[in-house]
Amino acid sequence: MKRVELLIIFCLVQTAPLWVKAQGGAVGGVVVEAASQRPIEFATVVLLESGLWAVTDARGAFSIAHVPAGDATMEVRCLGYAKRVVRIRVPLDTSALRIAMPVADLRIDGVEVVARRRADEATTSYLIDRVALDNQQLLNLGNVVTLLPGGKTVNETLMSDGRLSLRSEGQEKGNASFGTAIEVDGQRVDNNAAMNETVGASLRNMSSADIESVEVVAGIPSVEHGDLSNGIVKVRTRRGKSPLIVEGKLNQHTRQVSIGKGLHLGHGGVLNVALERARSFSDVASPYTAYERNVVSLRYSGRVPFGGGGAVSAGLTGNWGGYNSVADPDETLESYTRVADNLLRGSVELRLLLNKPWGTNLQFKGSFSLQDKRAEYYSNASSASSQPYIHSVEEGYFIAQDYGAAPNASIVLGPTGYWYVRSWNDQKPQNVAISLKYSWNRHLGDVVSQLKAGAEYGASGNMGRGTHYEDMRYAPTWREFRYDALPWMRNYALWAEERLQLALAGGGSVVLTVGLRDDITHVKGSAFGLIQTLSPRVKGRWVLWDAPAGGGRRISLHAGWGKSVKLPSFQVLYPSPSYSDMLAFTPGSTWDNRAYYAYYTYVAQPAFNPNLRWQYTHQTDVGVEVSWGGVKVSLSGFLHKTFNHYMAVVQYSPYTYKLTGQAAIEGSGVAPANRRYTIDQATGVVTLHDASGAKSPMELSYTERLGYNSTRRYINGSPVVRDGLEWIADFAQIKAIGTSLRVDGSVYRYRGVDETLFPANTSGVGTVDNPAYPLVGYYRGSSSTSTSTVASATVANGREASGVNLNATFTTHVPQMRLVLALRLEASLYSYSRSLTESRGRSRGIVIDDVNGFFGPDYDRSVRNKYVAVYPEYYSTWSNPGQLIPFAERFAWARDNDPALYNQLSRLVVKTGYPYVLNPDYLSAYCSANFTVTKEVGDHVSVSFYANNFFNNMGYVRSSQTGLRSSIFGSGHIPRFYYGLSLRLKI
Amino acid sequence: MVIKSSFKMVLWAALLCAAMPAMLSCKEDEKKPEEIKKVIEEEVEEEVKVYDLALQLVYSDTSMLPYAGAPIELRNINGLEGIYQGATDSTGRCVLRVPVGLYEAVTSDVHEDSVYYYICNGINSQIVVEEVGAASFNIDVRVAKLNGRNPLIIKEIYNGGVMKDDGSGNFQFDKSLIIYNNGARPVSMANLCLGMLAAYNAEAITMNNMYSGGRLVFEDERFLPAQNGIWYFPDTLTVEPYSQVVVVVCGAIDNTQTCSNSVNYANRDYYVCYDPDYVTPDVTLPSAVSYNNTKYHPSPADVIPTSHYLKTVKYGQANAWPWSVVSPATILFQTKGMTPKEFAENTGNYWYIPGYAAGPVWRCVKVPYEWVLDGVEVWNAAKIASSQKRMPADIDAGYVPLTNQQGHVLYRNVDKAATEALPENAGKLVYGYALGVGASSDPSGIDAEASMRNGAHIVFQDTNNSTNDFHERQRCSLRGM
Repeated sequence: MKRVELLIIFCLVQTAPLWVKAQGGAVGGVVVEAASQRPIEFATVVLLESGLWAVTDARGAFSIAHVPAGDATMEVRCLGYAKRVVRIRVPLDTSALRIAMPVADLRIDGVEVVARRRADEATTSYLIDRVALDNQQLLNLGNVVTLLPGGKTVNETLMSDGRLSLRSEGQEKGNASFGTAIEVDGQRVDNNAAMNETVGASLRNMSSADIESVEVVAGIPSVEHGDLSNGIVKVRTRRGKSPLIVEGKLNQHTRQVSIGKGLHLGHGGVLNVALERARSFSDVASPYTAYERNVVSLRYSGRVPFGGGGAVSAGLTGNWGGYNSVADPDETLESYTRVADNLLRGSVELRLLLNKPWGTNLQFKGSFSLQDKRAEYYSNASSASSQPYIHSVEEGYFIAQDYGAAPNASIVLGPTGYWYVRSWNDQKPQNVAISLKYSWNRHLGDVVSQLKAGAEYGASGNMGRGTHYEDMRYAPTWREFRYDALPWMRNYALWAEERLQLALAGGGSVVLTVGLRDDITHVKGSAFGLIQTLSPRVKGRWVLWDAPAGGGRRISLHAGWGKSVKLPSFQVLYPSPSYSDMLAFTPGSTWDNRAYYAYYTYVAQPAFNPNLRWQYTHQTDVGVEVSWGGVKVSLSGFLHKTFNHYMAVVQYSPYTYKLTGQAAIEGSGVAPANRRYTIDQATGVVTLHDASGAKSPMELSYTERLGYNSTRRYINGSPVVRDGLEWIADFAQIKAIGTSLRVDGSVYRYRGVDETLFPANTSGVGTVDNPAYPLVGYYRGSSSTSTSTVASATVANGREASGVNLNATFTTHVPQMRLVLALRLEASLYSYSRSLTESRGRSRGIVIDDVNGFFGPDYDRSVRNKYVAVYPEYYSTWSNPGQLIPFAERFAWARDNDPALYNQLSRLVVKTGYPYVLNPDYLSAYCSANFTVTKEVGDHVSVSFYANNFFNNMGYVRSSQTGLRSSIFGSGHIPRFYYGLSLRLKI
Repeated sequence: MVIKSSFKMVLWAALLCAAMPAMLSCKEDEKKPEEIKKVIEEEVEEEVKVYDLALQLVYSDTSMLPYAGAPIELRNINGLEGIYQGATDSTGRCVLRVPVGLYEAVTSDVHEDSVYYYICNGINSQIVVEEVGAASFNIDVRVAKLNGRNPLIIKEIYNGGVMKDDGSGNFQFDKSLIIYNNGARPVSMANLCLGMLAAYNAEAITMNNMYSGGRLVFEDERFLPAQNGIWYFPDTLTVEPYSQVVVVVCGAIDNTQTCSNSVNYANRDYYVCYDPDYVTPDVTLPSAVSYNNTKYHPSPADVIPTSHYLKTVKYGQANAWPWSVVSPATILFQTKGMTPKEFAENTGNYWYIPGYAAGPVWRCVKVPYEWVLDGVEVWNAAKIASSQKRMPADIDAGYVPLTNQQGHVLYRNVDKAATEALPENAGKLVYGYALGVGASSDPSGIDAEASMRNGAHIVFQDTNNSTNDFHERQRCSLRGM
């Protein structure tokens, strides 16, 4: 609560001295279409410094009152027209401005087919507009990273469900894709309520045809956005009046059709309707392995009659689709899989222009999202022997029973013969969010201050039933886990940000932004209680020079630092119980192949870790942009250090279990047809009953075994560091051939080494006479990169990687022909990765001469092509699990003195599988070329074509790790040769 | 008185002359004195007239060398009593002195050398001894060559599975193999083990790492790598002559109730690979420590006694013994000087497939050549070109192809010469074998199963070359055909 008070005080301090605004005036004008001079309705006019805005009416007129005096930048935008930026001085010389907006098509200059660097942001931020999206023919929004500097093209298909991840690559610790936030029209799309994964949200079910622009903030985002660690991607859909746009797209595996129109309703409103249908299949020979989406989207935007001005927009999007293999003849007999990917999303946004001394804007947003990801499986099954179907949810010994006799038994004997099983996996993630944002722009002398503050509430949960079966007779080993019985995850946030801007002589300016965000998460019933974190973020920009002379000269520097906290997912906060079953009793099979097995079930409730801290990232972002003559160069560097990322480890607890076999039954004298068995749930002793009554019940003899039960525990791993550089160099267009060159690229480095101590392997078989075994080995450093897998003992406990990518894009724009051609060369100049084994700066492994050795000199980084072995740091025995015995000395002693112990300890040593595992891997350079062309035919038709890897590069790359040369074709480094076509009609 | 004494002498002479013809006429066939002497001489000459009869044993098995001491019995078959017995010299020749007549010579012996024993039977009923002088005859001896040192062989391998009744695919949970005592004496063996060699399949690319310079990498060290786990008979196994032991590898239940093309293993005489209690010493999880996958290893039918359960030593990673459904290389071996458990649990005996991770997935134990009793290499009939041998030539020089999922088995060919050489098989052998698959069939033409049902003793061919020793058979013999 102390922190909340701090925030309130911070806001009050701002209001205490009421600075009087300098006398200003009103700004008004008309917005018309450049060619026809017809007025444009619903154009948005924004004064950037003061934050005041207005929307043009039916006559194209707008008016903003109380504009502070001085220079102002006015930005006018409207769907279908190119953005206009006008510099004005208030009070105005003319009474009304007349702003002409040209239609946004290929006749205008300044067409960009790649991401544009946003120069007005104090951090690294890119804007991708509709032309670039059309040119790239994106189907899955997750692939928008290909347009960022150094990005690599992938072949678009809906069959792959890749997740978006900024400034990171695969196989990395720190859950980077989970930390990349995605927002559509201000509504967050998150994956917190997913039960089975801790990765970013799936974007397959979002329409790609309806997107107006995408802004990618790869650097330090505003504190307005929380619950992220790697940046945010903001998607804006089409809003505003527009003609009927029909678009068809096809490539080798996908067909897409979309229709969109912005309808003008009476009373100042526009309704945007968009429909899209896309279908991708993975195998041309079998169109049944297909994923489809059918999106319907309705968005209303209109004016609200409110003092200074107001706008309301409401939207509803629905998608139904998924995957259905019912008609697929390649499935076994009648089997099929049907996976739904249905979605209903709605949002309401109200923006009020207060234009008062105490506040400029007030914005209210509410949204909800309902998803249905229900999968249905119908599969053919058969068995000659009756299998045990285990449904026990308590700890103890249970014996199988026939379904007919006891349908609710803990273990049911399955049928023999042939049958079908129908099951569903019902996931219905839902979330609700409301937020309030207040902004206040004013002048403090020469300094322009933009203060923003807000409060948010979000809740997410899953209303699905989980996995369930139609007929319990056929349900295999399964326990019920209903997602709808789990509590919802509620997030509250308060944030405030102050942006101060000072204009300098010579056209420069300085901007400083300071923000603070307080996130609170609550899961009812979670042992973690209420979780609270603070994220401060600071960024600044210094524009040294901004002169329009000489073709425009501008130099600006920016720097920022921020802390982002990524709250844990459901998987970590509220993990589901897992069950382990040990076979305890094996009587012989009866004449009809039924064997009444008994199992010992252990219920592993994941252990609560009171020391679990929240994962957070310190982001540092610096950059410089220079425009000189016609050349624009921007360079930005980043350093991200992720702390406390979530890791799963196992925890062992010793136990004994009893085994009973057929041998105990043989001498009993009871006829096989009369044998009935019961087992004591607690002790595991099996009693044989004679159904004929001739013999009295007898307890069967057993053997006892020692073992370990394992439970999962989430802990924090060691820090992970990522840093890099991104650059974009845009050269002036060569007017004679209309071609401009952009060179962009990135340098990227990653290092993640783990030092946590965790138990992993066991060794030896124990009996009650010799309870030392099995032993448990404790290892330092895990190589796991995902919370879904438990840390295991491996020789490598980390990885470092770096790479340099360079792209060159030649864009030829011929306005007279309304044609844009782009040739993009993507090259990877340097690619390095190496598995590491190191601990606290010291060596962690030993080099062995051949794979059967256990002793040798210490490993250091200069070693090549040798097998390496790693000892556990400690081991413990079954009878005394709390005592950790140092491994290395004991192992050396046992070699000479205790062969039995040596045999068991040697099983705990982990070795590399191959001698080249720890070699550095330098991959030789390779490149690929893509070609795109867009042509407008008349005013109504436009055609695009693209070819990826159209040279069909069949070269070789050499990997220094293995010394092998492999063909780059089909290797995944570059996309396969691929092409696609799209047709757009504007009616 | 002088007259009176001469009268007496004349009277006695007259009486004598009168009685002499009477005395002489008692013997009717009485010859003359010269004739009497001749008859006596002739009778004495008939009893001692004998002739040399040389008998040469000719062995049908050319690898068999003649030896000294093979017994021969000669019997007269045209009336005279007398049985003559003799023994051969080192060239297989025996000389008897016998009178004229018609004889039958019989030889029946079992001869042993260090590896084999030879059951030799020969008869010649056409021996004629005439007055012309010495006679010489051959006796064709049919030889049944049997392995005295390693009489236990793998007779049948059923690993390919069958198609399910509803057409939904294959059913491969019913694998088995049959061990056979290919000799005339009962065999008792302790520490008898089954193993499968790396790689699981002959066509696997893993095999490329098993060769170096055109030779198997372990050939010089004279061991075979048995992968994942071995099974062993817990007690001494005794097999009667010419009898089999069925070892069920998976699914020791009545599979025919669900899958009519499969086999019913619910038989009290069968053995089962079933040891769900064995715990691998090194594990990373509490479960999947043993071969306890109930789909592959269901609890065996309760008619099978637990004394027939084979035990395992598992050192690889699996929850069921991954005996290939396509092309396994199987060995039958016997550990010497240590129990199978001691052998396979000793980390010093571990070996890893070169070029692959040194962990439980690719782990094998080194089985010395001397321990191996029999080995069979099966290849995938559709992938012969890409298959490579896993056994060196002195264990198994060839391979037998299999087309799996059709219920086919690999069945050993009958050793025609040895089987027909056994005297007890006369009239019991069934010919006209038609259960081969395509070009693969038993060249002897003897239907072994039908003959065994008839009471014959089958000797199978074992030349350590499964190209010649095995064929692909349409159905498992346990289905009763």
